[in-house]
Order: sequence, then structure tokens, then C-alpha cells
Amino acid sequence: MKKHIHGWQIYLAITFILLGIMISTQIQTQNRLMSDLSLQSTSDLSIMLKNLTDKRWQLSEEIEEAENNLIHSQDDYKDDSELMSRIDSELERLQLINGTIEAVGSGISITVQGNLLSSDLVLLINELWAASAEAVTINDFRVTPTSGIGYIETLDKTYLTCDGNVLHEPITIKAIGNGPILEKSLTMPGGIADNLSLYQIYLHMELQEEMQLEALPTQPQLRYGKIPDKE
Amino acid sequence: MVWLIPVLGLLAGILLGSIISLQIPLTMAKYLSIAVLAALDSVLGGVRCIYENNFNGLILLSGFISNALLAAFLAFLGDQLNVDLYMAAVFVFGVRIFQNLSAIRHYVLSSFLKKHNLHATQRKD
Repeated sequence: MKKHIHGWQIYLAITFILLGIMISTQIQTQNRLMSDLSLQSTSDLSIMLKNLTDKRWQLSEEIEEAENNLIHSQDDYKDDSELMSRIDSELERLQLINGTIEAVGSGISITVQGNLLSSDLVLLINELWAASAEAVTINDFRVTPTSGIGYIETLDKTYLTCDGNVLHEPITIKAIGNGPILEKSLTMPGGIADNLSLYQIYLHMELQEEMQLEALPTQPQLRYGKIPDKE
Repeated sequence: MVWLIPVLGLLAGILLGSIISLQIPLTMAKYLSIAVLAALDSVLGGVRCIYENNFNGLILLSGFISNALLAAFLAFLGDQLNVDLYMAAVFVFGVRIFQNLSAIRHYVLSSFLKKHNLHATQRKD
């Protein structure tokens, strides 16, 4: 066979080289073609469009979700600020009620003339609380929910006490709140002022535009009471 | 070993094509593919002719180039005339390629068996 065919290998090699170039070129062209949109078939473009549209919606949803998360985060931050503000406000309110801070505001100043009993003093203070007094002092001793009013006796005289503090005469009660209402609550017919007047105890009341009530000298200690666990 | 040079030629051609990286317009990709098919048919026809002892290098080369160009042109013409000559060319060249491969396989096996039988006879003698 080799005798009859001269140089066939060369011719064949040349054609093979050309064929190799063509195949290589075609592969490269096909690869380029695959990434060229203008030459895709309608069905392929439709599928690609659908896929891209789906992807777009998916990304839009992700963006929307991310924006919502951002808004929620900002709201949480705002909520935290508002919460802290409310907590501060509530803390101040509780401090005012518990007498751990000074109280400033309008109200009424009552000076008691006469021999007041401890029970009378308790009734008087309760009447002020009932008339929405927000802070009360007796001779500049702050009255709190845990205050105790009593008396002590000495050899020559009996003294009223508030939380163990001796109340010297004249006893002056100051209450922060709506002054006219506080006054009316005491002076209403058949009220405590009338009752005390029967015992020659008179109340001299004076509305005050601005008063400052002292805070408790020491913070009340709570050692046994706890808030129950929330379930 | 006689096929080493053509096979090396094919590998060299693929390598050369990768290096040269001809930028064919994408619109011509379809025609180049049918040209490759025609060229493959020509090459396999040439190999077949070698086994049939009627190989002619010039005919192979001319057939290789003309068939490739003609196939590409026919596919292009089919697109212009809105006749799918591309598929017709694929079919025709596909059939011819398989026929050539079948014939080549036949000749290769016959040659192998002939040599094997000859060796066996010589051993007996």
C-alpha cells in the first residue's frame, strides 16, 4: 500500500491540520455564540428572560425584606429611645411617690394650730392623698407610702413623730397637687377641718404657686419583697 | 506508525487554531459548523481512498476546501431562500461520514485479520 501511494501522509496531514484549525475555530466561535444574546433562539431567550425576571423578582423581594429589616431596626432603635424615655419618666414618678427625690410644684401649705393627735394627723394626710396630693411633707419630713406616724412621750410633753422624727409645733404640712382641690377636700362641710375645729384645732391653709419638698434622707431598703417571675 | 503524522497534524491543527484564535463573525458560526462537517467527510473519504488504493492528494485537498466552502454556501443560501438546506447538508454529510467510517473500519479489520492469518500460516509452515 505504501508503494502505490506517494506522500499520502503529507496530504492527509495537511488536511488534518486544516480540519484541526476549523474544529478549534468552530469550538471557540460556538463558545462565543453561547454567550451572545442576539443570536439566541426565541425559546432560549424566553427561558432566559423568564429566569432573569424570576431572579429580578427574587432580588426585589430580598431588597424589600432588607429595607423592612432596616426600618424595623430603626424603629427598634426609636422604640428603645422611647422606652428609655418612658422608663425614666416612670422612674421619676416612682421616685416622687417614694419620696426619694425632691418634689417641686404648686400645692398647699397647711399650718396646724392646736393639739393635734397622731390619729388626726393620719386622717389629715389621708385626706390629702385622697385629694390627689402627689407629695406631702410634715415639718419638712417627707411622707411616703411606708411612713409611719406616731408619737413619743417625754417627761413633760408628748410629741408627734413621722418616721421617728419628732414633729415640733407648729406642725406644717405641705402637699403638692391641685391646691384648690386639696383645700376643698379639707374644708368641705363636715370634713376634717370642721371636725378638728370641734377640738380647737384649726388649719391655716395657704395655696402655694411653687413649693419644694425635701426628699427622704435615706433610701428605703427592700430586702424581702421581690417581683414575682413572669412566665 | 504510518498514521502518526496525520494524527500529529490534527493535534497541531487544533493547537494552532487555539493559538491563532480566528475571530469568525458569530453569524457565520452556523456555516462554519457545516463546513467542518464537510471537511470531516472529505478527510474520512481520503482515508477510505487510501485503503482502496485510489488516493490522490490533490483531489483530497481540493475536495476538502471546495466541499467545505460549498456546504457553507449552501447553508447560507438556504437561509437566504428560507429553505433549511443546513439540515439537508447535515443529514447528507452525516450519512457519508458514517459510511466512510464503516468502510474504513471494514478495511482496517480486514487488513488486521489478513496479517494475523498470514502470521498464523507462516508459523504452521
